[in-house]
Amino acid sequence: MSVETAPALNLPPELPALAAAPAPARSMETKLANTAATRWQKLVLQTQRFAQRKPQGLAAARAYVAEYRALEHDIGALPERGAFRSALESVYLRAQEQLLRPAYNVRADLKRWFVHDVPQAFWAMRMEISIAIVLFLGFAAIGATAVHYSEDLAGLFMDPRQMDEVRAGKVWTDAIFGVTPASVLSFEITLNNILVALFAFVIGALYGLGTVYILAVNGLMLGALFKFTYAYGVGDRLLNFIPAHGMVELFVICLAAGCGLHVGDALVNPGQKPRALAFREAISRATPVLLFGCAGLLVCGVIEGYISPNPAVNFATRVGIGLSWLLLFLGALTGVIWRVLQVRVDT
Amino acid sequence: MSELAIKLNDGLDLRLSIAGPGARAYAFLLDFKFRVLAALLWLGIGMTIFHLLGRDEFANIFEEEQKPFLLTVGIPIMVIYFLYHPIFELLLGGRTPGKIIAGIRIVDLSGRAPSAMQIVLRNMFRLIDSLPALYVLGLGLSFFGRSRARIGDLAAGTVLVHDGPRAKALNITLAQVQNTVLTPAQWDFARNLLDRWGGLMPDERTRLANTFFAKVQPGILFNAGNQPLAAAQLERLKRLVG
Repeated sequence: MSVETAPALNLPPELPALAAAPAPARSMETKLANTAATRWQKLVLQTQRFAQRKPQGLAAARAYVAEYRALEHDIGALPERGAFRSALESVYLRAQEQLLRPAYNVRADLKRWFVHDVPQAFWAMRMEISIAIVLFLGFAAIGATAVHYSEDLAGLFMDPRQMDEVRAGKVWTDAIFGVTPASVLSFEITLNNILVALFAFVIGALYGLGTVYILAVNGLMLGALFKFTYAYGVGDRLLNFIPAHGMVELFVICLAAGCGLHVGDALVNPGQKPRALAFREAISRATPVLLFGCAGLLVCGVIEGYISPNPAVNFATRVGIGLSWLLLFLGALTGVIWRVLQVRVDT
Repeated sequence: MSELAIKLNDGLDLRLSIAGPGARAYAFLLDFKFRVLAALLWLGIGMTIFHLLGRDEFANIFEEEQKPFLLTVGIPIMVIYFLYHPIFELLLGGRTPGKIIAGIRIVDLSGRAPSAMQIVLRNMFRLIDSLPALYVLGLGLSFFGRSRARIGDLAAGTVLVHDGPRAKALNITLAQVQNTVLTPAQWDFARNLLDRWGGLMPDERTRLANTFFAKVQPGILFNAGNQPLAAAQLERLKRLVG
């Protein structure tokens, strides 16, 4: 049996005595845990109650803040790393989550969003939105010109069956009404349009190139479709289908693309800011406009499902509906309508 | 960067461990499974009810009479599938069932639960993170990106972190700390050594125990290869762990 001991400590040679050697001094964590454990457990319980949104009363809330502050002090006294500190940090963060939870006022928040945030963001991005509109129209012109010189190019954007129908003097929009229920059609169209708009925006994260690609594809397709249908004398029927919903719908696609270009521009040219921060800020700026556009697409979807395919609605009525809707949409987007109605919000 | 350092207004510095692509993919796959199962369950219940009512309307979904089926079954299925993430993240403070199981959650750059707008943005950018297929872009960025975040996180200003221990874990930690003279780190080591005691070579466990005792109680050393001594070490370790 051989036990080595450090010279300073004269340990007994017997094993049982060795096993029962005096314990080291209690650690700071143990001392802290023994004095504050009840407090921490109380804080955990209170956090659970607050998370369940149960009314607690002012006194309970004050006591909760006091416990939270005390825990902060306790954590500050502990070493920077370790499982114990990590457990307490977790309790602290959960309590903080409840304490700093914003008090939502949905009505006031929505009002501020419509009246202030959306118009402000729109004016901040007017240059990018204008560029998106110009690009879209430019690509549409290129698409029409291309089909003018070579009809086969329309095949890049159209289904061969659709092309055959047009050659036979039919337009696919004629057959929509009565085949698919208007509600289903409306839902499908809205979903598709919103996805295109969202995609045009998010793909701006590829330094804006993705957004230009979306604009190019949609612009070229629109130009090619119109040129091809006009070449076979059915373009008027296609044009007749569009005005009620199409003015706002196409504008929203350009709006979303403008948002995408804004994000792309922030990445290419972040200025003095770190690129990640500029990216994040551009997205925050653009999002209200994008979401406003998506809300507009919901209305467009209803019009496109119920009014546009209905042969009983004449062209003049369609144009009237389309123009009124466009003016209303632009009025709200630019904030003009709120100024006219003298609606104000606290910013 | 594997930690999110947070400097709180209160003057406290916290560090949250950022979740890697493994935990992220694990949570996503779990959530994928849950939302597909929920959607299928809804479809099954809907079809059964319509069948019991004698209306096998799902034969041709695009006929006018199908409207009730589409409204009560078709659209809710899409809502379950597409809005699963944002709804759960909003309700559970940046968590989904899959994330809870994987032990991760979303926080903003100040360590708080993300706002509704951040959740919307983060999910909107799934459109690009999923490109060209199977989340290759998002996963690639979380593998090789400096902040181990996908584009959605960068856009929304959010980070996926390992969720701290829950309330139950605090009680376990407290029990460990209160009943021992060791620091939590020492306790972890001793517990680990005790668990592996029988499987370790005598020389090796004596060396490890000596290293440990040298830290905890400088002066105590045990010689290797002596069975009774090993028993004494074991007894001592057990007492220290408490």
